[in-house]
Order: sequence, then structure tokens, then C-alpha cells
Amino acid sequence: MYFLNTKNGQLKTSTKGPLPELDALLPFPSCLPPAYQGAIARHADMGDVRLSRLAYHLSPASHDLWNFLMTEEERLHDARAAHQTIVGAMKDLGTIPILVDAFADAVAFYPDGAWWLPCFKEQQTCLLEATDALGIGEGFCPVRAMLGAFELKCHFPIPDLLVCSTGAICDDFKAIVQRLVERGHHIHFWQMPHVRDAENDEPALPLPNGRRVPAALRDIVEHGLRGVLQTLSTHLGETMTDDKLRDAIRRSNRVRTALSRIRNGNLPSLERLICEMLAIHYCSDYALCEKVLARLADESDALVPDETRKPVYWINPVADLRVMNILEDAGGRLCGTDFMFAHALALLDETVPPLQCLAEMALQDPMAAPTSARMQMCVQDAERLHANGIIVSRIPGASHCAFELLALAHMTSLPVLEIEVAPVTDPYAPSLLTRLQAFVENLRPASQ
Amino acid sequence: MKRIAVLSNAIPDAWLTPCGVETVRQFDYTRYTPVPLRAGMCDHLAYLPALLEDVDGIVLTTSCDQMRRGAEWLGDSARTFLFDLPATPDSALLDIEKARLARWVERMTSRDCSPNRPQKTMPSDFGEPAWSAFNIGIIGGHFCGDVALVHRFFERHGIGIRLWGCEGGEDVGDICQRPNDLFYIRLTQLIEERNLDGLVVVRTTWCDLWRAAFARIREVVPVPVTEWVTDGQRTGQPFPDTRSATCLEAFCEMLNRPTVSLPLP
Repeated sequence: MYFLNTKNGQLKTSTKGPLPELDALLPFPSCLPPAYQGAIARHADMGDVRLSRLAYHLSPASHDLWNFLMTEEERLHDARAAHQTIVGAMKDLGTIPILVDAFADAVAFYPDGAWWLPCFKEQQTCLLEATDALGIGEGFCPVRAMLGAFELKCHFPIPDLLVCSTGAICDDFKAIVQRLVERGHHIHFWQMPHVRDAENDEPALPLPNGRRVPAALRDIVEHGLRGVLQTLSTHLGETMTDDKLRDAIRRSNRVRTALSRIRNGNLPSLERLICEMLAIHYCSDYALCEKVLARLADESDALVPDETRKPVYWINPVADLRVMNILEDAGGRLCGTDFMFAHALALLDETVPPLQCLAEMALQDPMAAPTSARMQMCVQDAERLHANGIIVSRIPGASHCAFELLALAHMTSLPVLEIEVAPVTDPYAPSLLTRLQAFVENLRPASQ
Repeated sequence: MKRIAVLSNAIPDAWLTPCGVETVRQFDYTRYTPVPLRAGMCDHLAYLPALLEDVDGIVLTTSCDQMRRGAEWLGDSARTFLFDLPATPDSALLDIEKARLARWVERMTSRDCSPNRPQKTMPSDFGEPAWSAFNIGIIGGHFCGDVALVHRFFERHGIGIRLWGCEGGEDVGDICQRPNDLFYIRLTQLIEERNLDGLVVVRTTWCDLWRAAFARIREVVPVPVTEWVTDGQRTGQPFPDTRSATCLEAFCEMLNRPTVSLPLP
């Protein structure tokens, strides 16, 4: 296991290095098909220049992870060439891809993922100009890049079907998808209710995440998911059955199991972020995703925590991947996260009717819940994981971010730092590093 | 009689007035002292703590994320009600929320609020529309200023306001539905019916929904449209603020072309 530092035969922490060192691991037995193997540098050469500025966990499993992530567009084009139906799931972050996977000839992905394009391209892309021209300017969250990708028909094949949750979602996204409709893209919307606590006079539904919500909300979500299924069935000409849905739920659980091991392990922060992001739609290939993650999970199990870095809990995904490196440069490391899709990580209950299971999953979407409920879960998680502090990473323009620190401030005795992360942080990386260093160096173990 | 501030036109009086409460939809925000807000929060929220002191209860909706999260920030669940307004034609959710709203009002008033009680029609807050040579409509989210001052400003520039469609004013349709084609159909009809020469779209800095809608409105309506970002209109400061006044004056001048020209030499 040359990818681990060892001392006296004991497993040690991850070794990190720049892209050339990661690519220097080649050749090695890969779990990816040959078409998706090769040097990561080729992606940087083709425009994803941010890759050249990251520090990587140096291991073959990590190399496969990055290749798997960066070849998603190729997989989608391959799916189209194979006459599969491409479904663009939007906003719900985890539920619809399971429904889609139950169909034989369909593949789902999140166009929302385009929010990382300005980062990967280091803004050397016309996406945002195209978005600006449609009135969706800088005041919106970086997910606006999705609109530009649709407009310029680049970075992903335009899906055959678009499905989007609406209702209790971010204003940015609600506004942006409406612009998509106005640009001629038909979208099947389904209602996501605001997931409030059940009142005393309402029948309550206990959720696996500990919340008690009105039981009627499950029926509403289930009704919405049935509508999506109906649209998919009609388009694909395939009748859906509970057995097929159950199989899809089982497949999802296998991936979630691997992710759970990774979340409990000691992968470096950057790779951990990428792994968690795969949870929402499995990077358009369940089977391959499971292989990639299982291999990383084995490795993660074998790593010991880097005790020189202090464990912090991180709230919200970062628009610039490099910030995960900066956190470690500042002496911190991720011990727990809420990247806005906790519902895509928790194991699903295979014993209940499948649509009920998926409706209950959707109801655990932290973004549909009150801010205080989400923050309360973050605090519990942070304390369980012995985090020394909590970092709230604001997403520029995102409507929910203004309220998070307000809710969190009175809930925990753990130190809290709020930062804002733009798609490319280079202009203020030194001050960001200093800010993180000042925070991290003052953290003390939770028990002290 | 209890006074309930209803902050969304999507909640009709008929859902509240059977309980014998008075609904209030338009406010002179200059009477209220705003509280400081964090960056990213809608300016309208700054006035709600003071508004809550002035009424018996506030009804907000989930039509925008700012209001959804703002209701929670405001606290006082006994006097603040967050109505989960469906963004799709979902009658089941609407029925649940109507019943819940009725129970909330009932708790507040201790009266029977069943839908069978006779409904009282509330008089419109809006008088006869003003007539001018040129008329505009003003639509948008919550306007956190003094509406009378707005009328006066435009009258000074020879423009009449024939449609006040900001939140709390006339119902111009719901931009929060997905999709929201019906809003643009209704708006276009209103422009034609009222013979409007222009449109002003009001929003706050962090209002994503009206900001995006502004781009679409410009594409579909047949009259000139301008945007008015109304944050920070505070008592004792010039109204509108200098930048807004310059924009709105230019808009008025564009509409209000002189009908008599100088004789040619």
C-alpha cells in the first residue's frame, strides 16, 4: 500500500501532493473502464485548469475518484449514443435519481452540478456572461452557471426530460429554473412542502432523523413522486413496479453504505467532499460509483486521523474546491459535514413501500426544513463527532445563508466561524487562510 | 377586533375574516423603526419586528425563501403564522394549510372559524385610480415606504399610477408559481385594460424572484419597464434616494414627452 505513509509497519495519515504526483501513480490496476482511465492532467489541459492548483490524496483509489468525477460528461454522451433517456433532476438532491435508476433505459444527473464549472474553469468560460444576459447576474448563487450551460448547450447533453422540486426551495434556484422554462425547456415540477414540526392537533410522522413532521406531508410528497413516475413511465414506455423500485433503493443503499464508511474514516477533506457529492446522483453510474467508493472506503478505513490537524464541522458545500486544501493548510480537517443533502446519505428503509420510503427520504431534506432544525442537527452531529469548532461556509447570493449563523449562534458552545466562498478564491486566499488559521489555532478539544 | 397583518396577496381575506378579524395588507412602513439585518436578508424583514408590535398577528407565506426563513427569524409562533403556499396546483397542501390557518386564528380569537360562516367583504384600500396624460403601473414585492409619497413623486412628473400591484395592493397574479405563465398573461391583460404607458418593478436587493421576473417582464410586456430597488428608504432621508430618483425621473421623462414642440426656425 504505497499510498500510505507507514511508520514501523503502522498505518499512518494520507500523503498529499500536486497533480503531477497523483498522475505519477500511473499505471495501476484501475476499477474504471479503460475509456475513463488516464492522466488527470488531460482534464486540466482541456480547460479544467483548477485541477492544476489542488493538492490531492495520493493513491490509486483517489486517482480513480477524480477520473470518475471528471468523465461524467463522457458517460452522459455515451448514454445518449446508446439511446438511453437522460433525465435532468434538479434541486431535490438525491430522490429523483433513485426513481430514474429503477427504469432500464434511463440515466439521471443534476444540471445543478454546473455550479462548480466556474471553479473548474477558473472563470475562463462564457457561462456566466450568458447567464448575465438573461438577467441572472452576480447577486444569484453560483448555481446560475447551470442556466448558462443550458443556453450554450455545453458541458452536458441537454436532458430529454427535466424534473425539478419546487416550493420550499432556495429562491435563487426557483428563479433560475423559471428562466429555463422561459427559454423553452419544459420542466416537470413537483411540490416540496416546507417540512415543519407537527402541531399538537396533527397526526405526526416520526422521521429517521429524529424530527416529527405532519403525517400528511408524506402523502403530498408521495403524490408528487407518483406524478414524476407517471411522466417517466410515459416517456420511457416502461411500467414501473414496486420490485424495480426496491431494487433501485437497494442499489442506492449499497452506495450509501460505502459513503458512510468514508464519512467515518479519515480521507483528506477534498476527497471527502468529492465522495459526498457523488451521493446525490452517483455521477450518472451507480455500479461504477459503488466500485470507486468501496475502494476508497477500504482505504479510508485504513487511514488514521491526522492528529496535527484539528477536527472541524463544515456547513454548506464550497464553490471553490481549493478551500478544502486551504482548511488543511490552516491546520484543520473535516470531521463532519452538512453539504445540504443529509437525506442523500442516510440509509433508506427497505422494509416499507418504496414510494413511501422515498417520500420520507425527501422529507429529511435539510433545506426544506426550518433553518433552526437543520442547524440543530448540525450541532448534534458536530458534538457526536467531537468537532472542535464549526465553520459556516456562505454561498454567495444564496438565500438560506443569511439566516444560518443567526440560528446557530445560540445553539452551541462550540466556536463558530463564518466565511464566504466564491467560485475562485485566489484573490482573497491569503486572507481566507489567515482567517481560518486564527480560528483553528484557538480551537480546543471539545472535552477540555 | 384582532388585527392581522397579511403579507401575501395569495391569502385572501375570505380565509380569515369569517373569524371576525381585521386584515391589514398595506402599511406605512415609515412609521416603523427597522432593525439592522445581516447581508443577504430581505430589507422588508427589517420592519417586521416593529410591525408585529403594532398588530395582533402576522401571516407570512413560503412563497419566497426570505419570508419562509424570515418567519422563523421573527419568532413568536403564537402571533406569527407561516402559510405553506404551494408553488404547484397542489390542492391537498392548500387545504391542510387553510385549515391550519383557521385553527391559528381561532386560537387567537377563540371563535369558530369554519368556512361555512358568512364572509365579510373587506373594502378595498385603494381609491379611484388617478388619471393623468401618462399612466404607469407599479408592481413587485413588498414596498417598504410611504405609498402616498410615491404617488406624489410621480404626479410631480406628470405621471399617474393606475395600478399599484406591489404586495398588499391589487392582485396581479403570483410570480412564485412554477411555472408562472399565468402571471405574465394577467399582467399583459392589466397593462392593456388600464392603458398603461409604462411599468415600474419594485424589489429589494436580495429579492431573487422579482429580480429574475424583471428580466422576463421586459421581454414580454409591450411598454417600457424600469426597476426600482427600494432598500434603505429610512425616515428622515430623501425619498426616493438620489440614485433611484435619477432613474425614475429619467423613466418619467421618457414617457412624458412634450406634446407641443418648439416652432422650427
